[in-house]
Amino acid sequence: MRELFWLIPFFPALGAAFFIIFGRVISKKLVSWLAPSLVGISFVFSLISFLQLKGVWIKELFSWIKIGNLSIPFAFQFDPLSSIMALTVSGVSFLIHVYSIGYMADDWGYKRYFAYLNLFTFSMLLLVLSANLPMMFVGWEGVGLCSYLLIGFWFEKDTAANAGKKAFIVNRVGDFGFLLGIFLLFSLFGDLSFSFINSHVEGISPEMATAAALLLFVGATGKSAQLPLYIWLPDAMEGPTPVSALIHAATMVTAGVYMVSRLFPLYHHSGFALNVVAWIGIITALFAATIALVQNDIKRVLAYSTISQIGYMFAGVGVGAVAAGMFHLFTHAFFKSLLFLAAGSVIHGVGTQDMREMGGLRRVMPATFWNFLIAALAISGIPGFAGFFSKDEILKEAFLSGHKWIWLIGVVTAGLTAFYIFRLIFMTFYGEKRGWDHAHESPVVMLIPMSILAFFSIVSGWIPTSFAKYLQPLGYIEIKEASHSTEIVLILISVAIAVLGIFVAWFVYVKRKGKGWNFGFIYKLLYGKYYVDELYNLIIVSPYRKGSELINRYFDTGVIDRTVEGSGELAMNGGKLLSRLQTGLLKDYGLWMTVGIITGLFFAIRSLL
Amino acid sequence: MSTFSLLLLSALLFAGGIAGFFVRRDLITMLLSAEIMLAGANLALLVFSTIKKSIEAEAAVLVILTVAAAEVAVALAAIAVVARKKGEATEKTVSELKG
Repeated sequence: MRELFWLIPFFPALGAAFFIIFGRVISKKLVSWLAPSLVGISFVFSLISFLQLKGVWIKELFSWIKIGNLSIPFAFQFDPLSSIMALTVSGVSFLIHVYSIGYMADDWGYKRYFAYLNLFTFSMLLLVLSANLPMMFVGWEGVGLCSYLLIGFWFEKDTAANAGKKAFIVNRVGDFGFLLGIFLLFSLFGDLSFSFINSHVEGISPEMATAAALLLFVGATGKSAQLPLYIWLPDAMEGPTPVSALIHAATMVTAGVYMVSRLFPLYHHSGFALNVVAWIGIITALFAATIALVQNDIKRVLAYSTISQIGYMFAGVGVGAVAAGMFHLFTHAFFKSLLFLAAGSVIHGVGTQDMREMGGLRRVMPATFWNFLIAALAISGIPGFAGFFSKDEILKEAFLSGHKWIWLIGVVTAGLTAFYIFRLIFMTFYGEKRGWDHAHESPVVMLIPMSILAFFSIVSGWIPTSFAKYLQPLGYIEIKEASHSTEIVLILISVAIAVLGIFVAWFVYVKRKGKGWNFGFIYKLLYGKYYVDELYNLIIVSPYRKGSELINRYFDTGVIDRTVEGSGELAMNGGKLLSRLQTGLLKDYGLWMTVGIITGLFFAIRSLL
Repeated sequence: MSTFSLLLLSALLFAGGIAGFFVRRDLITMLLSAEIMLAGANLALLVFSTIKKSIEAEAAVLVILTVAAAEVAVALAAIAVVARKKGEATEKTVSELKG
C-alpha cells in the first residue's frame, strides 16, 4: 500500500469525470451503484494504508511546477494526521453517498448531484493527502468550488443561487489571505512542503511566523466559518441536506483545523498566532451557540452548531492540544453528520424545515428519533457518548495549559450546546403535532447509514489516549497528565452543565410548552443573528454597490461609452467633411488627379536630381 | 523633325488636352481633350523609343491605342445615353456622385 496510497483521491475523481462526460447516456441505476462504490474503494484503500502505516509515507509522482528556484513536486503524504483525515473523509463520504441514493431519489438532477459529490470527495482527499501547500491549495479551492456548486444545486430557487454566491465570495476573501500566506512562506523558506516548513521553522523570526500563520488563518476562518467570515455557512443550508452533512458539517469546514494542525510548529513558533487561533475559536463557539439558541429553522440551528463546534476545535488546537482538537474533529464528523442526516430524514418526511410546524414526530419516525437522540447526547457531552470525551479533552487541555478564560467560555458554551440541541429535539419530536398532516419514516437506504454513524457517534469517543498516542510521531503532540482529582472535578463540572442545559430545555419546551420564553431585546438580537449580515450589508455590500453605481454612471458611461461613441462620431463627421470633396463634377476629380500627379512627379524628379 | 520639336509638340498636345478638359463643359469635347492628352503621351513615348532604340515603348503605344479606341466607344455610348435621357450632355447633368 505504501506505493499505492496516492490512488485514494483518484477513485472519486474517476467517477466525477465519468458522470460529467457520460451523464446523459448512463442509467440512474449505474450512478447509484458506481458513485458510492468508488468512494467505498477509497475508504478501503485508506483503511489498509492506515493499518500498514509506519512513520511517514511520501510519494512523489512527478515534478509539477518548476520555475526558477521554485520547485513543487506533485506529492502525497500519508502520516498519522492525514491518515485520520482520509479515513474520516472517505468513510463519512461513503455513508452520505449511500444516504443520498434515498434522499435524492426523485430529484431531476440526480446524476449531476453525484458527479459533484464525487468531485468534492476527490478535492477533499487531495487536500488532506497533499504533501505541500500549493497542492493543498488546489484541494482547498476544489472543495470551495464543489461547495458552491452544491449549495446552489437547486439553482432555480433564488435563495439557493444567492447562498452559493455568498459562500463563494466570502471564501474568496479568506482564500486571498491563504494565498498571501503561501507566498510569504515561499519567500521565507524557499520550499513549500509541510515537512520542510515544519522542520525549519526555527530559522525564521517569530514575527514573520506570526504574519504567515495569521494570513493562513484568514483562509481558515473563511473555509471553516469562523469569526468574522462565518456568515456564509448558515446560508449554505439552502443546499440538499446530505451536502450540508458532508461538506458543511463533517469534512470541508474542518479543513481549517486540519491546516492549522498540519502547520502547528509554525503557529507554535509564533505563539501569538496560536493565541489568536484559540481566542477566535472559543469566541466563535460562544457566539454561534447563542445564535443557535433561538433559531427556528432546523438546519440553521445545526449550521450555527457546526460553527460553534469548529470553534471548539480551533480552541483546542490553539491552546496547544492538537490531539484534542483533531479528536474533536474526528468525533464531530460522525455525530454532526448524523444530526444533519436525521434532520434531513425529518425534512424528507415532513416536507418543511420550520420546527414550529413539526412536533410529535417521535411516534411517526421512531428510527430517526433514536438516531437523532444519540447524536444529540453526543454533542451535548453526556458521558459515554463520543462528544463527551473529545469536548472534555479540549476543556481539560485548556484548563491545564492555563487558559482559564477559554476553559470557562468553553464550559458555558457546552451548556448552551446542550440546551439548543435538546430544544431542537423537544420542538421536533415531542409535544403535539403542529402543521403537518402525514409524515413517514425514511427508507432503509437512508436509515442504515444513519445507524452506522450513530454507532460511531458513541464508540469513536472511547479512544482519547490512544488517539493522542497515535498522533505522537508528528513530533508536536504533548500528552499532559492531570491529577485524578482535577480531572474528576473538570468532568463533573462539564457533565453538570450539560445536564443543566438539557433540563432547562425540557423545562421550557416540554413542561411549559415553549411559553414564557421571551427576553425582549436579547431574544430579538439573537434571533436577528446579532444583525451581522445587516452590518456587513451596511459597511461592505452597500458601499460596494453604491461605488459600482457611481463608477457605472461616471466612468462606464462617461469615459468608456464616450470613447466608443466618440470614435464612431469621429468617423461619421470626418466622412461628412471629406465628402464635400466629392462634388460629382468630372472636372474637380480631374483637377485632383492632376494635382496628385504633379505632386508625385515633383517628388519623383526631386529624388532623381 | 528634331527630337526636341517632337517632344515640344507632344507637350503642347498634352497641355492643350488639359486646358480643353478643364475649360469646356460638354462631355464630348472633354472626351476629345482626354484623347488629345493620350495622343501627346503616345507621341512622347514613340520619341523616347527611337532614342533608346527599343521596341517596348512602341508596343505599349499600340496597346494604348487599342484600349483608347475601346474606351472611346464605351464613353461615346454612355454620353449618348446621358444626352437622350437628360436632353443635353454637359458635366452638370452627370453630377449624381456629389457627396
